[in-house]
Amino acid sequence: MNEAFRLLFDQVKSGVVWVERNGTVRYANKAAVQLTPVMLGQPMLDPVAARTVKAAGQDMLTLPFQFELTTQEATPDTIRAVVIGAPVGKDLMVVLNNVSEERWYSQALENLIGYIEAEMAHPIEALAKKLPQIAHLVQQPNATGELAQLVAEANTLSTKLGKLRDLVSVFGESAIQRDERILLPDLMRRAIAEVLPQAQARNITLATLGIDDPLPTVYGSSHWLSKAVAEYLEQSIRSAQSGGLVELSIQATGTRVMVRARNRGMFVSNHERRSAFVPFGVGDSAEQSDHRRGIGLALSQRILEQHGGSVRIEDDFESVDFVLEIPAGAPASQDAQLSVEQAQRYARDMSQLLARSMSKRVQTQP
Amino acid sequence: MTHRILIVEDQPDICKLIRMTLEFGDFEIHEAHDGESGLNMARATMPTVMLLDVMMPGLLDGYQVCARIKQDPNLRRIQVVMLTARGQATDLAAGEAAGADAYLVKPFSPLELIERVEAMAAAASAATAD
Repeated sequence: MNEAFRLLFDQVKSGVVWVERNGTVRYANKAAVQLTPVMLGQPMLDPVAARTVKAAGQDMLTLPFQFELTTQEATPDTIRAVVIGAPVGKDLMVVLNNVSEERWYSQALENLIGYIEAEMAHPIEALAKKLPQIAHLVQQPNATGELAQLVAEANTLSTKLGKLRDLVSVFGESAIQRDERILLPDLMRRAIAEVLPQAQARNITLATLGIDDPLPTVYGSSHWLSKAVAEYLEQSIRSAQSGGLVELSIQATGTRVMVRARNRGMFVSNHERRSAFVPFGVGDSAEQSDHRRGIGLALSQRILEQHGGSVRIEDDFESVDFVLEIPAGAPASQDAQLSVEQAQRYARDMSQLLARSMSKRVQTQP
Repeated sequence: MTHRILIVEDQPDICKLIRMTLEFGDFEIHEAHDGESGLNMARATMPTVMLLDVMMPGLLDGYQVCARIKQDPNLRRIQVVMLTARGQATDLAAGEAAGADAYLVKPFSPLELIERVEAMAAAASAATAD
């Protein structure tokens, strides 16, 4: 395989594996390696792929031949594979695409339905059943305990509906157009205070580092960024083991501010890493609400993106980091309209500036 | 006496407009395009007047640069004019808290700008003469 093909396939988003007719792998691009295990000089390590390629090499299949694989994970993704002839010679190629990723949007919709069923159906039903009591109870001064319970249930429902509303809002076209000056330590402290009860409920210690250091300001919507950070912290805490430690550090590097929530002794599979950003996922068990992702990091990610930042999950040797990045200072691109207005103002003042300049010149001449 | 003026502004067109305005006066003009380089250039050039944008990308915004200048005994005599689109009372208060000497809201009048800068330069000359 020549260098031009190698360069070409290295740029391709799909996984590309170039194999000899006996099934021996000659080349695999980065995308392919992420989708299925391969080693150069050996048959493809996935048995289905190895068998299919071998059969194609023996002319037992009609090319192009399509088949499906799964990733080697606890919750595997589906890979659509197709065997085709190589562009030169008699070799074969296997092109791989992650169908699960392609199904993101339909998955998000399915998740939304599941989310509403798992998270909201019961509270809505419970509240609806108790609504008639409320009218009665408000007139009974001694029934404060029951009223408090109803208020708590209403609050739970309101919180969940509020997050759903927020997610819909931030996907709107003009969701976030603010340039408020935000002091990060204040924002972080507010967000920590918001999620601390959840951490305490699971006996998780939240240690902070760098929050009292001089930090750059950021510009954007204080309201939405507070939500983004709180949602991000909530996700970090949900992912931590009970009784564990989440180390929260904040650091300014270059033109970015990086917030890192580190959970030690954790492992996140590629599937979990991807699905964490798909909203509404309730997982396999709708009963264990502590482990549900709910709105997940999708809300946080969307808000951060609109501020020029990002949220991601990083693996270290023995820890998992939830990393939130946001540009320090104002966004690089600002409203061009301002420049037009300013130019108009300049044009208006121009004659006076010239007259002023001429007058000074006359005064200084002997 | 020619006074040094330092413009700290990230938007190139605004920076150019300020420069064109100040070129109607007798000034030595320097430019920086973010807070950190503005602070470094202030240390290097010791301008009489610094025209400082508030919202800039990077680790220091205008208020932070202004506060650092006013906290530094070697720099605090630099006259700082905050130049920004943020004209609300809380923004003016933040500029005051940072120690700004003046505040011009964009879109600003170039005439007002040059008159303000010349007045500050003249005051600085008078203070030096005393």
